[in-house]
Amino acid sequence: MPNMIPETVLFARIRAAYRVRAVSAAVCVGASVFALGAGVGIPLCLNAAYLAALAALPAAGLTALLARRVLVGAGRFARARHALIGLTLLALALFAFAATVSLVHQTLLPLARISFVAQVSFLFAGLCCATGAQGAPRMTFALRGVLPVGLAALSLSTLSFETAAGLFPLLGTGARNLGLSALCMIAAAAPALLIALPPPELKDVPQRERATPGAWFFVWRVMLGAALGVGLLMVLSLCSTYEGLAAQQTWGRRMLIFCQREPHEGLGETILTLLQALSLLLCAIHGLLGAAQAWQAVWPRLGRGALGGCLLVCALLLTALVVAGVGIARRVAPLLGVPVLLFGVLCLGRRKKP
Amino acid sequence: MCGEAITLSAVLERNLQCFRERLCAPDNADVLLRRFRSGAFESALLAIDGMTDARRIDENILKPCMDLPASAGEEVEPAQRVAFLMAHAVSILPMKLKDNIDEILSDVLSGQCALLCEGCSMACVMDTRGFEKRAVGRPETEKVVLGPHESFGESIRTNITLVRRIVQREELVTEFLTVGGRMKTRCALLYLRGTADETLIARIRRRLTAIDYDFALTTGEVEQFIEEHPLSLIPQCVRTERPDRAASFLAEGQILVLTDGSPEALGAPSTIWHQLHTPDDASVRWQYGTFLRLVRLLGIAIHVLLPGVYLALLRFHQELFSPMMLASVYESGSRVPIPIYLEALLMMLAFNLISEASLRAPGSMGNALGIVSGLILGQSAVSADIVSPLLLIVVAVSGLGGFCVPEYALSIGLKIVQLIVLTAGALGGLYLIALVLLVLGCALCCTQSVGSPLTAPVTPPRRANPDILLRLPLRWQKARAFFAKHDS
Amino acid sequence: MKRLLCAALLLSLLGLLSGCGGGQEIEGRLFVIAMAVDPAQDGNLTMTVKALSGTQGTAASQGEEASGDGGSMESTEPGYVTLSATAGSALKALDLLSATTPRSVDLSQLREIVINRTLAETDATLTILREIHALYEANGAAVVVVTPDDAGDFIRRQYALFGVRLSQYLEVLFEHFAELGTIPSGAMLSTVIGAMESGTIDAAAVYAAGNAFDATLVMDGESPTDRLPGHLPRTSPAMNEYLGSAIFSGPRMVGTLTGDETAMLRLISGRALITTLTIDEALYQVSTRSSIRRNLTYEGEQAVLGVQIHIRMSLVGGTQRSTEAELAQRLEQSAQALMLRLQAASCDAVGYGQLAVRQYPDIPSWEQSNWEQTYRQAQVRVTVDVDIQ
Repeated sequence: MPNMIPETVLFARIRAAYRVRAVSAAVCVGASVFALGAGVGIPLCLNAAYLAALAALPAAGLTALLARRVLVGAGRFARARHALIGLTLLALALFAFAATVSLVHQTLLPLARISFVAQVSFLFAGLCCATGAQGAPRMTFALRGVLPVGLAALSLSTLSFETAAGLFPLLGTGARNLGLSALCMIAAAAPALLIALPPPELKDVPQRERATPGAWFFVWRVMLGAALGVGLLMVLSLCSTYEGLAAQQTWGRRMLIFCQREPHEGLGETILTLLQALSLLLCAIHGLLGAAQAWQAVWPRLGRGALGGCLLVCALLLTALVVAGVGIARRVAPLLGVPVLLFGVLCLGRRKKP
Repeated sequence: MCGEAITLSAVLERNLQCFRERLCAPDNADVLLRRFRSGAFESALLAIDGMTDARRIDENILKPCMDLPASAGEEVEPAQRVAFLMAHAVSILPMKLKDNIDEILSDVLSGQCALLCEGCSMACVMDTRGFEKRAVGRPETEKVVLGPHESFGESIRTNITLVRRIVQREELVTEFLTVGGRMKTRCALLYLRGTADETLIARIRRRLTAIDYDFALTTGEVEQFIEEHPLSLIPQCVRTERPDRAASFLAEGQILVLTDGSPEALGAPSTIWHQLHTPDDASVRWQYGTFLRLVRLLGIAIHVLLPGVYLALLRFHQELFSPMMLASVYESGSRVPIPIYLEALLMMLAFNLISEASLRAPGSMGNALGIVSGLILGQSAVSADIVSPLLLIVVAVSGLGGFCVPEYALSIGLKIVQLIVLTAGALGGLYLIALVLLVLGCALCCTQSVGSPLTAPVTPPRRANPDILLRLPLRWQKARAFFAKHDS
Repeated sequence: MKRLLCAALLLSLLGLLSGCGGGQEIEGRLFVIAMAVDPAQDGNLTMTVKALSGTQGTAASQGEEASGDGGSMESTEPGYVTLSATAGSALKALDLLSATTPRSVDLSQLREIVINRTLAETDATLTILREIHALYEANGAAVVVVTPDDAGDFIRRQYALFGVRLSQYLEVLFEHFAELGTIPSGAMLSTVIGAMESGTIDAAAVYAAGNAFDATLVMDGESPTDRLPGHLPRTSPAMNEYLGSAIFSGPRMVGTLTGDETAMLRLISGRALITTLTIDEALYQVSTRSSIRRNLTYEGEQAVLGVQIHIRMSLVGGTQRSTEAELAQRLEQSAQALMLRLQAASCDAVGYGQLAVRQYPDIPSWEQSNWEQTYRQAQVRVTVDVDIQ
């Protein structure tokens, strides 16, 4: 007679599934904070971009909190909410692709055509999505130690005692630009919307049996991810003077963590850039998978076609971006803050009784 | 007539005629059909020559039956005559009563013999196997320095015995199954009741019984029929030829599948980590086990990544070379007439050819082959500027790393991954290698082994002992594997 | 559906075989180890590079002189080839080199950039360095050297005096002199570019020259490194000498420092690796508990550039001929003289601007503060304390 899974074991497995989801959201938030900070924050505030990026921490935490409420069934307009999540995550995926392409094209493959970089990035991301809804989240979970530790260790190793001078002047180009950049950084909280979608491993578990962890379970992870993104932006400030930052015209080049005062070009820097690119690509993959899941929730008939549809739309838009210039993505990215705010409004409301 | 019959009849001659037709006797000289008088009634013995132990049949079946007094069994009802002989004459263990003709034939063909009596529609099938088999030898592919040196053989009974000698527990259950289409193969499912998950046992049993294959099955073929992801490069079950390792699988809650005629046991469900562990790890102290494991993992990483990374550095990331090494590579590369990717492919092809050839070459030639190919061909190729010396070293070191893979099937899968990584490195540098590894990692995370995630307990997180990457002290390892029964 | 999607994506991968990845066979590249920039006629630049030739033991042969603005090539030592090209800018010159040799120029292994002094004293240096760093992906750790000689000749006569490889020789050379403290610490390409662009610190490059070996061998009591390169009383197979600094104010070279002055500059900047000091034929071991503090204070409207040097050292050889106070006074005078020289040249190589900028909350207020003038008019206050144990 087949044995039933005891409740304690089921509870542990459900919790493990939510852990995987929370870690995925955290990695994506960190990547989007960094990409948005480098794309919008640095041109606006130069060396004070990391200060403006601090606004992403409470934004991400709050979004995670509200997303968790959605998970337990609170709020109104469920379909509209899912449609909003689907659109936002698709836009996030596009943004992350653009950031990856820009970074890789400017640093790792400078002689390659940008179309080649975009093509391989998208194709492999698509293959990751096609392996299954659980593949990328589990892979991200497996890398939850390697990615942040590698990023932190390698980026800190590029610094020296003298690099503290890069922090000054503290407010960068001024308080006004700092405030504007902080507003733009709210968009970096968009990946936290992933938490509103139940993990794919639990799709066969009835809603009432899914013991959803408390809000803090998600919030601290997401904020830690955002903090890592802020930390990397701070390292960028430390690596160059503000004049050096102003002299960099391309988004990808701006994301390169290269210390002017203590240049150490070598395997460490290459691995660091690879880890950055990997984080951004994982953000794009999770965005695609999340968008597909959200659209499937809006129209269950879509079934697995939701993923194909999201991939197709993303491919078309990415092609348009490559032709028009990937820099457009970074200029438009702050608009992701609008759906995040809308989501907050739609989440208000009492929790539905089971 | 016999083609329609499913069960035995009470008429002995009819039964014997049926068996003659089915076994193509008397044309089939291997068929042994002996009629004799056992007490008050006629009996017959059916066996296959060469598959049975003739002495046991003579001493334990024929002689006792034929020595019965003429009046023995007079008052026994005809339907009970076989049972009478089992109780009073035959001294073979084990024996079973069967009436299904197909089952009786299957048993006889596997080396058992069938005793039939006049007036009785049941036959007694007795295990009198006595065919020639290999003695218990040493493992060929899972050699260890410290630890047992026994390995499985081709006889399923011997293999089960080897496991039972180690796992002397009443919960150890052996289920025999006959799998396959027209040519049936005997398999055994071994598990510890109360430790193995019944759902998984049922799943494996169902998959085994669903096999419809007309040829004799080996363990490898059985594995291919029960795995869930036939397109995956990574095997989803773990194979072993060592009884001690098989016993450890049982203790963890895995289910063993033994196939008659194959000297390996299949363990399922399994994880990728099982395939990276060796028996050596557990039989030495934890510090040594951890060290060996790390060396092995490094070897595997070198095997998979080194050629691709080398190519990526040469074609895309020359700044990572030190100037001394770059000058050396530059000079040697300038003399080679073929592109570096083609050069690397040729070298790897040559290495794989040498590996394959040395496996097939007779023992005395194998050593000479290694010397000829390695030294002479390699040296000649470098002297003739067909390949660069550094690439030769890279391929050789990478090949050595491949020999660190404990599981033979996994090593072939990793060779394919190595080629993919090499191509990625040649086409897109380190970035494309990272993308390929990401996709392979995601695919691996989605792969399941009999319903259990292959990459668990690392991801998704499950309960586990501290014995995944590092082999920490045995006294810290208190949990059973996550796929075992939950309250075991 | 999943298999269909995978198949579609895998088929699309065929496009990868079109070779747009930018990969290149290693023999298709020209790895430049050393580069020299000289001014040429009509505002042009002559770019000379020394690169790996990919052959060992080639006989030295005379290069063919090309006419006009074309390139010329010589083999000077086994394994290397020297090429030059003249064009309107550094980029054009490098492009010309790529066009005239069947290789694409790769600056990732660059170890040294030598700039003629005449060129360094113009604003063109920053543009040249920026172009080769950003657009040609030059190695950021390459050392920037300024020479009064013809820079092309400077690298032509350079060869590996010890060892086999010029690149390794140059690396070891710069490391060795950096340890001695006689060349500036922040002379790497990216650091020099950063300092030239920055308003908070000025650049210092290595100063070097060729020696005609005509200086007298007799030392007349001066410190052996209190000189500029090109005149050291020595003999050697190698003519090139690296000693001292070329100091910049913004993008323009404004002066030179001797070896000893460079060592003092490093000490004041807190970048000294000095572990021993020789004073009056006595050898002192400098303790790691020594400290150097720089500060910037204001007395009214005037800035005060302060540095407090506290050196703890112990006598390890020779006889101590000066008292602690005398030693302190000498060091103080040297430091004061150096600071005044830097101030007069408007060169903030020490980095007081980095202290000044902290007092301004944002960039506009900092840029309005006119730090250059404040620096030039600031008072210098040096305090040295020597403690011999």
